[in-house]
Amino acid sequence: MEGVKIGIPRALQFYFYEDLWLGFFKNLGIETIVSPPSNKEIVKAGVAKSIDEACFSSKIFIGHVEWLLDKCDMIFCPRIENSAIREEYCTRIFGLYDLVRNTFPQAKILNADVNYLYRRREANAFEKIGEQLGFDKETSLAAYKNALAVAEEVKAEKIAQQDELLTADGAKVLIFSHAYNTYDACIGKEITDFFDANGIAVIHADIINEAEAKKLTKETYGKRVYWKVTAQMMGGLEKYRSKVDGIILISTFPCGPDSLFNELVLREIKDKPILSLVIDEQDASAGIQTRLESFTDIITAKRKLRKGGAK
Amino acid sequence: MTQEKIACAPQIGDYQVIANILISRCLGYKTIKCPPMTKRTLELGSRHSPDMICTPFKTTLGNFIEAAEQGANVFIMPGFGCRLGLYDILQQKVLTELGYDCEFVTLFEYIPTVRRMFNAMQEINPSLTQEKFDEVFALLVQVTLDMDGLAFFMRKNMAFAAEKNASQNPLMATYKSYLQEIPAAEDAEAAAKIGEKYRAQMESVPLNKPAKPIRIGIIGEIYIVVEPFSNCNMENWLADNGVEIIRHSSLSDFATAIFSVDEQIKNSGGYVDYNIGSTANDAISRAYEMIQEGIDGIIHVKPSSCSPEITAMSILQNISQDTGTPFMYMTFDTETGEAGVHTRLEAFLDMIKMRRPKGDYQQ
Repeated sequence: MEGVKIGIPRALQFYFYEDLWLGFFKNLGIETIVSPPSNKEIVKAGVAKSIDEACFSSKIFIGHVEWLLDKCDMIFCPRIENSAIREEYCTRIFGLYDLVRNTFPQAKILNADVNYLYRRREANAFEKIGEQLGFDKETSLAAYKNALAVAEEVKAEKIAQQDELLTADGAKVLIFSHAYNTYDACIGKEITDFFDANGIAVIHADIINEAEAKKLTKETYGKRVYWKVTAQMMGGLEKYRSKVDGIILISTFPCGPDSLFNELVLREIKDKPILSLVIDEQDASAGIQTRLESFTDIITAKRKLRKGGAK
Repeated sequence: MTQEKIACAPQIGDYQVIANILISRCLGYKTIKCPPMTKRTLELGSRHSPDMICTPFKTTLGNFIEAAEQGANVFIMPGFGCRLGLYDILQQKVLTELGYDCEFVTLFEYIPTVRRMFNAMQEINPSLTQEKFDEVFALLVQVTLDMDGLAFFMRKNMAFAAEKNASQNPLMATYKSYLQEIPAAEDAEAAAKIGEKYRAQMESVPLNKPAKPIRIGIIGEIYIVVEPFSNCNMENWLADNGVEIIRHSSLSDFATAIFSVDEQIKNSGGYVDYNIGSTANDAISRAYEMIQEGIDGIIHVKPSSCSPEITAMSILQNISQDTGTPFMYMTFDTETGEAGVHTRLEAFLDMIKMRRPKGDYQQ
């Protein structure tokens, strides 16, 4: 397909697969357009088009799709149920394709199914996507493999950078949140920006080697935690909790996995200050700023106290 | 001396009967029924639960706290997927922090197969043989099918029992006495006999059923659908107001539904392509099927923040629009008031009646 332009919503799974997806299309020479960081208009459009009880992050996703509709030929919205056995995504995420299809019946969607329970592997999905764009299996597979290798490298680089940050002196907070919330301009960005501006290092629970995270979660909570992202975050929490001054839980209303595990974290961890922030479409940044300020006061005071005690 | 094990399953409609048969016969534990749900159950449950969690977590936790007060120390949860499969991790933590020493039995781990259920049972009771388990399982299947069959018949006809003046609907009374008698059934064969007896009894109840009564379908999340206290006795209200209730959600339907998602997708009129989680696909295909059969209206129920059913709602809205079938969406939480629910049902029923030729549903 010559000259086709693929639109990719900057929301939800995009934050897990950014490098893989963009690399894949780049390798095939396909033009892509990624929607801009979330803004008020996108949020407004998404909220208007969604069921009110849906989670805020998925409302934002719908807003991004709407933004892309008249700017591309196809919306890239693969249906990803899991990335291995016992590595499930939440039902909002694997229902996305059908949600988008029913919300925008006129949209053309570029889709493939990833479901390891049905032996539909990621590589096969990319072959199918390539096929829909007029590429043969070998070309698509090569493009996928190359993009995957690059994505793995980027991931390893991020982990190494964070390890360096961890050994540095100075105050640190651990962000316990899904990547699509942490980095979204209308959800977590404001929070991480606040810490950057105040010279406090931000550590991310989900930046961790996946195998290591899985092992840690299994040791602490048993093998039953079948949510991929949550298992990764819980592993990161176990690994980093002793090295930080405080923990921030960021969640959107009403998140399924977070509703269980944020509560577990709040009940489990008693030795660190924890701030739990739930974000929804009621824009209340003044309230969040106040809470972040008082949280910062607490961790700075605690650090001072510790230093005083050491003298 | 080790403490005596007293097991308890949450109140999920009338299905405690099933759980108790399984636990008492496979594990040899003493079983109790948790105290019937009241406002206190909801209050206790929601006080100790996270805000954003779906309603069944709060209500089952309330059940467990009340059962623990009565001495229960083993709690039964089905496991499986969605959030439900991981409820017990947090519920155990909460109960322990409240000072109750307890353990949880999870029937299915990740994938619900009979094999896994046997493994879970055998892990707790190593002397359980495959033979014994198969025998108990056959009994469970028989009881579940009979129970659901009786209840389906009851829902369809409850509104039309000729003797209305009795304090309890005669069909409901028959169903309740079945539930009283069944726990004593020796094996599947004996259970089948009891089932037949009550089936015959139910079918002999005189009915005054019009040719074309108002028919309302109920679909949605299984727990809220089958748990009358949690759905504000919605079905009783509908029956009292002369409605034939078509509801295919029950434990036996659920057990088949989770293995036939592909089938459901095929029967959804092209509105959905994939599994969208839990029983949401079942809800969509049932709705589509009921519409083909000319249902008057459909009520979709779910607990607050149930994510698969929220996805389903987006799809059901399109089906409703395209076919012109009225849908009503109801979300239940621990704060839902009965009066409000009944007002909405009344308005929905009035609207459906207005769509029908005058009075034809009474003839």
